[in-house]
Amino acid sequence: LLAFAARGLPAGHDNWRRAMYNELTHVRGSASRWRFSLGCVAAITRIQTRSAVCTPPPGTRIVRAVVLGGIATAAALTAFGLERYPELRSASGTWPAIAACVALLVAYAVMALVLSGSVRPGAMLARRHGLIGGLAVGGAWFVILSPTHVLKAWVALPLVVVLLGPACTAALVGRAAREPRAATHAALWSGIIGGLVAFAIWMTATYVRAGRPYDAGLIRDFHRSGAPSLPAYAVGENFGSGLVLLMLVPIVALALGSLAGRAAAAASRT
Amino acid sequence: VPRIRRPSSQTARVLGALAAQPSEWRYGYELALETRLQSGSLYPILVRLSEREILESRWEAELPSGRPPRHLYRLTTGGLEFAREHASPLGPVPMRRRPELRSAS
Repeated sequence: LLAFAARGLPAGHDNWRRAMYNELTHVRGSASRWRFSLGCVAAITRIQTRSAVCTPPPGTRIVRAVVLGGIATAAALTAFGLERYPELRSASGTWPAIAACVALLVAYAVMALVLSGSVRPGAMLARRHGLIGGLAVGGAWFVILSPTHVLKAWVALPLVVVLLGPACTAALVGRAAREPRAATHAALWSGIIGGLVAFAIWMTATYVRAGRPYDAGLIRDFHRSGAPSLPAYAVGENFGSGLVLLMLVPIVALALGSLAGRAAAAASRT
Repeated sequence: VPRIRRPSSQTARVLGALAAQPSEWRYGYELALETRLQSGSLYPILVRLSEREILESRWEAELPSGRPPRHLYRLTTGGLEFAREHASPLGPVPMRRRPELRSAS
């Protein structure tokens, strides 16, 4: 456990990795050893986080700014919904959904910090391509959710971009870097940035349209729920869908991207 | 020693433990028991103190049979001055901790 966790320590901390590991061999008693090991894992996480926050590797400023900006925007949009539709605050399920949203945003921040810690050429390539892939996925969501007829006519193309964009990004990185790990990182970056942009667009569109369109199913569910306001009910439903986007976009990106990236990396080596 | 803001209470406890025997080299688990800090809190403090040149370290020379050398720590000259200014005196170590401390030394 300790050896695995210590792999994540930043460069220049090799002595500390060895210090913790060697110290463990001198600790007696199973419970004490477990306590010491788990403490060391927590220490490694703290050292890693501090190093990632205080000394960002070169070339990570833009991608970090985009992710942190996306997280701040998502949090602000969530807070805006609670302020604009106060009925939501007393609705059942709102606070668990808010807790899930906070947990997801924290997970996004941690993933971005961990992924931006490496200075390997493959990791840097993954960040650059992942940023472009993520913005492309976000742009595609903008077109999909756009109310104008001109953009609606092109709806099939952005759907393809949403589904295959991270996979193409990962394949490009896998081929150029010749390592599956870099390709997986690129896919994950695409998913993180794409997920945040998609959530921001989805919730902005929700507020602009006050949760419209209200289809027959939604109106029926609204009457059954006993909720006091249809717009607030519709916004709450859309917030739930936004959370699903926030979860699914990175998962789909990671699944398709790592497959495509591995295939491209393998092909480039043969 | 670089300019440093006032240390946290946990850091002050570590400084107190090190300043109590400034010429002795101390190892991590011993410090953890003495300061009653978990290794999760202790090691980030040791890393920070080391980066700020308050602490010097070396590897254990005389090895117990078949065991890898431990990392040992003590205050630098500047670190001792800093510790005298900021260290917290340690309270008594709880009884249940003492046997572990003896077995680890």
